[in-house]
Amino acid sequence: MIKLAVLPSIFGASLLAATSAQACAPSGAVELTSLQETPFQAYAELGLETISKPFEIDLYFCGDGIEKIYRIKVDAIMPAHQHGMNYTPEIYGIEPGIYQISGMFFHMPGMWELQVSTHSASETDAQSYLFTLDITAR
Amino acid sequence: MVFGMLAGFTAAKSDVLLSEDEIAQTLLHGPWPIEYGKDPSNRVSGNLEAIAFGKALFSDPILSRDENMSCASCHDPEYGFSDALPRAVGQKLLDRNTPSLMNLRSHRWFGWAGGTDNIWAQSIDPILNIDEMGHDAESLRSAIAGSTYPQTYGKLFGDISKHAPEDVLVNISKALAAYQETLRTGQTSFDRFRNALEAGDLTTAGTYSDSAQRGLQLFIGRGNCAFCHSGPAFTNGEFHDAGVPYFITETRVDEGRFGGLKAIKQNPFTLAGDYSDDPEKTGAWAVNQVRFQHSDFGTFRVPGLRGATKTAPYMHNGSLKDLAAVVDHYNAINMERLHVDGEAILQPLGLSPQEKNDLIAFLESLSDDGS
Repeated sequence: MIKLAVLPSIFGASLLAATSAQACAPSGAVELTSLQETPFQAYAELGLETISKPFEIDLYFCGDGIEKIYRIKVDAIMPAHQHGMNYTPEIYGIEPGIYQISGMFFHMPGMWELQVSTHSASETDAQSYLFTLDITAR
Repeated sequence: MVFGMLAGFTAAKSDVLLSEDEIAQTLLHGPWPIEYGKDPSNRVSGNLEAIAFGKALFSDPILSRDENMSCASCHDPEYGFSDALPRAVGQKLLDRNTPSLMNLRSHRWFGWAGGTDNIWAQSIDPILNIDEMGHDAESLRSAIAGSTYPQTYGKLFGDISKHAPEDVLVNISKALAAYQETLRTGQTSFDRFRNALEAGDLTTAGTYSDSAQRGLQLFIGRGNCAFCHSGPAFTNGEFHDAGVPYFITETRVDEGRFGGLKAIKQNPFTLAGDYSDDPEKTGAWAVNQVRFQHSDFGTFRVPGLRGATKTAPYMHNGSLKDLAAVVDHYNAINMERLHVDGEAILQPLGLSPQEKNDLIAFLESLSDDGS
């Protein structure tokens, strides 16, 4: 199971409304893709240096609707080898729309698919979006 | 090939056969050796007196309850601190091959199943195992207290008579660890080749034999070996199904990593526990965040390949007698034996006799450090 991060409700809508894709993510962050039509974008700053060492990822969600993000899930798989990571990453909510992921660990070289999903709080207003990013590890 | 031709050197014994991409991959297997610094979980790591104490203990049968075997009984320096037997022999025939103790600081997990996450804890298992050295903490404390060691122990750890048995057990293991972490392989002809490539010294690089270079190309290329045997120590430190049978007998199965995970979750001697001397709990992320997966069943830790020529026979059950047998195993691997959801990278390699010899020449070049 992925550890879930729950953000406190004090994060204000006015702050979130002012957030833009250009402003909220650092210039070096890489945009994740989604097959869905999403109201916001996802960006990642990767701390990956080499395989077989734990690394961190900073995630940024930019655009409309990030106030509805109640929790996120993060994982990675190696599609060509039919396996995922051997460790469960830890997810920390830093600010509205900003998360730090620790304990990411790629144990083999090659292409990994980072998978990030966002989830709303309400069962009746269930909005979840899946973002992915292909990462080549050496 | 192009690389060597561009360099235009003709006096060298051999050319550099590797492509630029292969050179880039080769550089990832070094530099070596790695300087790790002191182990923060062990307050006597790097302490010269502790190293000497650990070395003495390592060869002393006092660490077995019946005083009939020492660590060195199975971990023989002549065999890379292994024992040349298919399966270890303690008080009886054990289930697995004796793992080498060389380059332990490069490990994240210890033993074939990773039941421990640090060097000192990996010594506790055999000391307490009834089929190996057979002590319990109380009997070990009594044995040490009644020996010539209390003064040395006291200098390093304090008065043994005031220590709880479990603390003595851990302290003895930390002295053993201080010694064992000094057991390292040195630079080999592969490292000289790799370092010369990094420095752009193609003349020196060209002295690495053509056969070893072709074997290296197979290792990082078609052989897919470097997927698991990665990095400077030639291991990713994780657990994989290499297609080796995990039946110990017809009715008994070695769970491998699956059992190791169950063991470590009950192990009080981890980097996350109170016996670690590191207030920062460095490295504890692994035991805290490691996943239980059904696919761990029957997987075993990927051994490093440095010094491997000394540690035959190979694999967790010692079933492959030499490096040629290992290459043959992967060359004609039994796909039906592999996990359905296991590694998708293993398949029969179809190597020619020359290619098999080349791969062995490369593997041998990881052991010619003279240690």
